[in-house]
Amino acid sequence: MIDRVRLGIGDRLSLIGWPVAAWLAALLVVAPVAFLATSLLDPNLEVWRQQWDTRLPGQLYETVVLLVGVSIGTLVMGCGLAWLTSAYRFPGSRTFGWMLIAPLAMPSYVLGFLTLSVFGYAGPVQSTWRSVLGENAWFPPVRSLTVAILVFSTVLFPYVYLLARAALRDQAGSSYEVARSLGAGPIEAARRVVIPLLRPAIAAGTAVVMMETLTDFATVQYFGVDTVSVGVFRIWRGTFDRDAASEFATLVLVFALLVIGLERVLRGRARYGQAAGEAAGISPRRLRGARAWAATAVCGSVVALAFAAPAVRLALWALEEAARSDRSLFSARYLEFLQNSLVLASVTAVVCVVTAWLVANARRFGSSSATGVAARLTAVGYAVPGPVVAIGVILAVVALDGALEAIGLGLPGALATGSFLALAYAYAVRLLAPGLNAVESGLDQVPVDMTSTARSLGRRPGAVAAHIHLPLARTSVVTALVLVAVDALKELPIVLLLRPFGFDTLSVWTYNLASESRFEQAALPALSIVAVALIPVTMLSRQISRREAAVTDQEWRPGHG
Amino acid sequence: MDSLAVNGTGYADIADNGTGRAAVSVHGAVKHFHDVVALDGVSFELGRDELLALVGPSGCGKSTLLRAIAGLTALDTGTVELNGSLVDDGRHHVPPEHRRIGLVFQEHSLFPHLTVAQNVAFGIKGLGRSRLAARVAELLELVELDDYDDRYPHELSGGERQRVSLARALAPEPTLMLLDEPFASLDPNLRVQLRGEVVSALRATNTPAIFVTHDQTEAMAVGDRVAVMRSGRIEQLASPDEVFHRPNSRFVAAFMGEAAFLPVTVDGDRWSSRLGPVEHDGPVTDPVALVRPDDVVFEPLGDAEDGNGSADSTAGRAAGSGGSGVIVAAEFRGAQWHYKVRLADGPEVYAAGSHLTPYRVGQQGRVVMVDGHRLTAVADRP
Repeated sequence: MIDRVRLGIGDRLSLIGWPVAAWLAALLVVAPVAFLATSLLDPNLEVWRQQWDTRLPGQLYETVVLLVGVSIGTLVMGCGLAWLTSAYRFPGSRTFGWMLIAPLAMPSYVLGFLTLSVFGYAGPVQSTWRSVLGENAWFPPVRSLTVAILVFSTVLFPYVYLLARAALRDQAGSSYEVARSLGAGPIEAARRVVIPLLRPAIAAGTAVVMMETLTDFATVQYFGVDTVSVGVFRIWRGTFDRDAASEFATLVLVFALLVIGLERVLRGRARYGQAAGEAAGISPRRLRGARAWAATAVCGSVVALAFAAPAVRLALWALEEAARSDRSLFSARYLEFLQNSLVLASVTAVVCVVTAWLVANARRFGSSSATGVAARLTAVGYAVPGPVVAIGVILAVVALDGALEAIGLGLPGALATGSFLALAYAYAVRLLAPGLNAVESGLDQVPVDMTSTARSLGRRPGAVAAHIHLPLARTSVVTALVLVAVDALKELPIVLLLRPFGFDTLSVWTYNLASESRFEQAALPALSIVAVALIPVTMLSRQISRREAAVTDQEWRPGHG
Repeated sequence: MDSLAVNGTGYADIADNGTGRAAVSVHGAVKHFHDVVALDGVSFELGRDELLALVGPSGCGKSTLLRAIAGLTALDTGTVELNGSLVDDGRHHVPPEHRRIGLVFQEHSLFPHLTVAQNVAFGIKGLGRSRLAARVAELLELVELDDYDDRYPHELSGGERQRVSLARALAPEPTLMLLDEPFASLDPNLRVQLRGEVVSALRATNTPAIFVTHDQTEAMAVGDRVAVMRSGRIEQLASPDEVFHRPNSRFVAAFMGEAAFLPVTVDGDRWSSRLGPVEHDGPVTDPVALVRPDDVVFEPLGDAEDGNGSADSTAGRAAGSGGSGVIVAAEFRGAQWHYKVRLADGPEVYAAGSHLTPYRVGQQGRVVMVDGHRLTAVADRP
């Protein structure tokens, strides 16, 4: 039986619907940045003069020193540890291979306050120091730029570590051995082959680290460091002067653009060429005796200082606090803030993943490259620092508010300055990129031929997405939900700037308690955040150890079918 | 574009618009990808029950042509008509789900989360449960996979998967079937068997088909006609015999099989080469003579004692004068020996020889035409 088909309204909608959805998503992501950028066109010189006369020079200096310092710190730690765990075998080297990414689960504002509590004036270290060396004994200042750099480096080095390790495995391995066989010593081979090959990975990792550092304005305040992001926070929370805050936020945007430019320059014309198939990587050399134990000690102390000890400290405090308060472990306030966090994280995750799903599918169905551009635009939010997104969203929502009012649809309440909607919007803009990455990698598992076949069998794109793409990419969609939700739960800068009055999340509560040096009370919410953040980190480390196991299998089982 | 509005409600209506029209007709199809020209003015028609084999070197645009017909790629300019209905005119494109075209790709395009029966049923619409089951059973029977309905794709062999793909593509009764290198990932023996089955299934259902392959043998075995593509154009579209034996260019000749080319002397209407007269229909620009390995045979010099007396009985009478040469390479092909012979002043030709009488490299002799074979003039476009 042949049924006659004709293009009705539904068909036409399904043809234009996908690209339109992708462009709508791109527009929503770009709008805040665009609104913010327009304030560059009409600068308020009065604001800038006032800032220049007061804090601005110091903020510029401290921002630059912080960014450069953290880059160097993460480079040394990330590359060094990647090389150590890839090129050598020593007791525990396999385990450290994946354990070294654990610090990713430790938000900088948590490690920051733990550092203060341990090394600060009232902390155990300085107390002991004074009791041994006398009341006025000198101790290096803890609330300082140097310590802030150390804290950020400790938390952020895994970004460089991961990329450097992957590059070592996929590219540098055989090249290193070829160089050695051509007569280059290990040092020369590293200098002439490995480091140039690692450069794109290092550039990318460092760019991520700088962005993460730039977006922060909470942790740095523990250490009395004043950056341009702190400036935005101060202006907005101090005066709620939208224009001044957006003027200043453009400065943060300029820093972000500089970081992106720097990455491009450093990467040069090199590309991430994925080696065909599973590369064997550098075949590791076995260390013996003292050198082996020294390597173990280095890796062990990094894991201990960056993750294990802080986690134990938090756990002990949380237990002590529970015992002292003589109530249940979870107070009513804790539960309220937990609920706020969960609601915000779930809303963000659903919005981001649904949008990512639409964009990724639009790209698959769209024949034009314009849809690809839209997809790339929706990912820019991740490269825009939190303060910029936050202030940009305020501007965008104000504009929307005005537009709605003009057509007689005024929204109730102060939509812009502290509504849940604005907050969720900002979160979505910032976190769409990781969601899109995960969803796209899932959809990439579905061959294009399969999509084509399904359509030629008479199914519209929507049906193909629902019946073919979704079942096959299900795991990635779940991964995307988890990744975005966890990032949203950890997120601090945006919620500090945009939270509606009285709306505290676990991260805000942690930050506020720690700012008042109530470390014991901050322990429980901090520990909750770390525990949740461990979920994606565990997923990632599982992947790493599984891949390593696969490589090892290949070593003793050559030529599989 | 009023020509698109064939039924007033939409701009296309793909159905059986009477008989006698071409299943596909493509006119002046052009497609660019950035600055690469994938299709450079392709025109052809396909009959209602015809199998067309589409061959060409990789990157010649054959897959793009297939995708344009299927609606997976939109043309820049040109038109595609299916059964007389315009589906692409470079501006409006009927999406693939409304073209009623069956697609079979290389392996791995079965939906892995659906069973064989669910895969086959995917494209069938508007049937009740029992009629659907009957239809699926009928299709599986057609491809000889009667008891496979509950299996999942990963439980099938490569050949079985392709048969399911075929059944699935045939299920909605497509007006046209497009097969894009469907057997490329199968081993050679299975490939030959399977393509026979596919062809008979297509014939049994009277489904016209375009079959893309990069294997010339396969193209000639499958196609009622063969289209040879190159750089986004169709170089020649003709019967397998004509494409192989009377190619219209040196490129087609060389692409379709082993070939050597000899200079042609034109003397009015009498064209000849050193191996004998050269056939030609009408004028040929820069003609060269096409020599296939089966056209000629190698005769060793002098000694009739070394065992090739009877093998040559058909050879020699049609021989010209200038065939003397020496074997410079010899390759054993099982059923035959394959010699490369350098002729007296330079050109080389290939000659097939009996496996009973092998010659060595260095053997002097002469190349003569096999009885009944003729040399063909082709245009010397490389």
